[in-house]
Amino acid sequence: MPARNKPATTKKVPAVRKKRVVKKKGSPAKFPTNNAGEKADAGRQSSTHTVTLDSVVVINNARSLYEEFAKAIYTDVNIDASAVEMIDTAILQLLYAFVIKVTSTNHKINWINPSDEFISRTKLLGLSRNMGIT
Amino acid sequence: MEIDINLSQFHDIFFEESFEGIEIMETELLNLSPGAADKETVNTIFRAAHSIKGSAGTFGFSEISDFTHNMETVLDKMRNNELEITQRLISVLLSAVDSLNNMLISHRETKPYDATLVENVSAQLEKLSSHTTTVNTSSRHESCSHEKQAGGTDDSPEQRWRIGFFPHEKLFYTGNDPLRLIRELQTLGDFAIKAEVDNLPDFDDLDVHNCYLGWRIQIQGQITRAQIEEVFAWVEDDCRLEISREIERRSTEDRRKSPNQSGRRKTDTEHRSIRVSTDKIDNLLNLVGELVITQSILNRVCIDQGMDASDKFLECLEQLERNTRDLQEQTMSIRMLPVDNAFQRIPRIVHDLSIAQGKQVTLEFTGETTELDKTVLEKIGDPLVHLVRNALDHGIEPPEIRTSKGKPEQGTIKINASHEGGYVILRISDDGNGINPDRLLANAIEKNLVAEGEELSQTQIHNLIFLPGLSTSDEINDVSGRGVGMDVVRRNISDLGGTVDIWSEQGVGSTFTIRLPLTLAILDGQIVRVGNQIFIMPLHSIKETVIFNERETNTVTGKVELYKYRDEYIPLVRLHELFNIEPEENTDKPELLVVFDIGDKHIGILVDDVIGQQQVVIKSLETNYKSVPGLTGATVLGDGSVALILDVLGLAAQHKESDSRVHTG
Repeated sequence: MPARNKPATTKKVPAVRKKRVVKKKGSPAKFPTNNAGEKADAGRQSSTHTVTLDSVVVINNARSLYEEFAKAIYTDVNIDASAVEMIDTAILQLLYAFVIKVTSTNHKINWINPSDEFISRTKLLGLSRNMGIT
Repeated sequence: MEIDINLSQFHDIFFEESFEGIEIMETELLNLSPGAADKETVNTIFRAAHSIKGSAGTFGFSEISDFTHNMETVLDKMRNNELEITQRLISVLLSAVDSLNNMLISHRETKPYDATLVENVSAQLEKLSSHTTTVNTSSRHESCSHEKQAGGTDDSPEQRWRIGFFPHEKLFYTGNDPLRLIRELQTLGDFAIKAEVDNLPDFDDLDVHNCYLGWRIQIQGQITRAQIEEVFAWVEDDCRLEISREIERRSTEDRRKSPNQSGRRKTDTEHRSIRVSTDKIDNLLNLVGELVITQSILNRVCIDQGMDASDKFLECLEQLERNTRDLQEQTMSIRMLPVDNAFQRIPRIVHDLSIAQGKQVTLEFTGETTELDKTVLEKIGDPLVHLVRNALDHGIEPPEIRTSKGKPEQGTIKINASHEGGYVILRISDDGNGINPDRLLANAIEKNLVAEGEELSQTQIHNLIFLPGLSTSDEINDVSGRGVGMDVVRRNISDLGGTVDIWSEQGVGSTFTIRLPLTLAILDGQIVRVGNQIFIMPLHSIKETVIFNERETNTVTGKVELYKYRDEYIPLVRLHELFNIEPEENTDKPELLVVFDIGDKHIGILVDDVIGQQQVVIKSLETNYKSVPGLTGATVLGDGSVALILDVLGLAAQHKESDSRVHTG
């Protein structure tokens, strides 16, 4: 019997480095508006999370990454994918769900220098357009 | 740890799947053209053979496994261009398919098979495979290496494929990553992908270890189905995979197929379906039938109770009636299958017969997706084959004769299926020589089936072909010409509640039109009363009902009673006498004669009263009691009483047996 159920790569690396950026006092909050020009989400927080993905980020890191993302739903989020060399479907699915969630709360996702490998894998799975990666 | 599994419980599935494989092999072999290198077709045949071989080995049917292995070896050489595809090669493989089919039937029925025939075919296969020396004979029981080799090659045609890849939620647990598979797929050709995210839950509900995404992919290039399947081989049990080849859309009506060219099989389309035994469906249908009857009784009770139309109960009852009707329709539709199933044997027969007789024939199918009840479909196969054989044998002329008549060398047999007014119509037509009416009439007179000097219309003469013992063929061969069969064809079709008509013009061709009911489970019935007995008559074949006049009756040869209906004498059936029913006494009401159309003839059935019309659920008499001549079944009416359903065609046939000459007049 060939090794059918090959386990996913399990290189032990920290999946994410986090960095909280708090906006300076006095800087105007750029709330998105609805058609009526009113503030769409007056209750949202004005802070921005930055999540930095490591070079190898795979399903083994999914749980910790989810917990990290869960804290950032109601903020604008910078995702630094510049170091990504290896990422699998489970993580890209998680990122997709996260992006949809964040944008549905009228917050922004900013991709910071996504690596070629990250972009190509996202495109390969047909997820790039909805995730705002071009 | 050893696990004891009783494999015999899977035998039915093995045989069912193997017979499907046989069908695929036969159809695809008929698609092969000598000299052409259609790798995809050969691969399809190979995969069917390989699958049978593997399963047969698992179940211990070693003769089947060994025999299929010989076929595989030849097929392997064909796809590796080590064997040229010739008519001889195709014929040997078709014989091998026949032998394999016989072996499977024998094993299923635990009967011996013709071992000599199998050995002969095996020897022919081995002879073919020994044409080259590069075959690896040690690969006798390899598992799936052939499948792995079924890859694309430079001479594979450019194809566009649509792939639906929908992993099961637990796919990640198997260590497989869709990304890896999709990347591998991408290397095969031009590629476009769309992610299906409908199943992705909200972030809050996301289980990060589950796979919720699916993908729809289009890929184009010199790609075979085997290559695509190979990419997904390791996840085949962990996903739903849909692979279909995108083909140029053509109207079904435009499809022209010859025995050597037809591409009729839908092997590239994966059906989302489950395998359910027909017994289960029949039981379900039966229960729904009971529900319809109960609902009908309930209706009757409400009417008898004098319920007001505004009564809430009646409102609910109406809803129940609608739901019951919908349920019945849906259940009936489960038994409906494309008529294509009945056409499957025909290409092979035309192929073999056209070669044997040196004729060139194009076979055209249209309307193959028309649906028909499974039982009707199973029983119509033989009459269809008979009509096609006759068309080829008697109708289509040899090429030189056709040329001398200014016709194309290649004759055409067309088979068309369509829906017409609640019936399925099958038309089998050919552009051959047509029926010679003079010869047919002369034959009938000679056999004393028609009186000399009797005047018959052209249609009546053509219909003589359905009388036992008549043929228009000059010579008798092993295909047809003995006059045996056309009467059976009509009888079989009649048994299904259908009719068959013929049109023919000498030198132009013939068309047989078969009219079949959509189903045998329900019937639009006319309720009639004879004495105190209620009967149901099939509404569709009633021509009219007239007041009976005893003075218009006449008895022929002392046993067959006729009735003067308009300008003709028609057979008269008195149900009182036939079923020993006490006639109604002291009534001023006149008796009624219900006149039926039977093909181009009529028959009159005498009844006391015509009550009304109703759709009835047919219950088998054979299953619940025993077969009774003149009756096709029984039904339960709205008041809970049982009514018998008349077999009008059977009654007409009984008359015909009494004096067949009556019907030709």
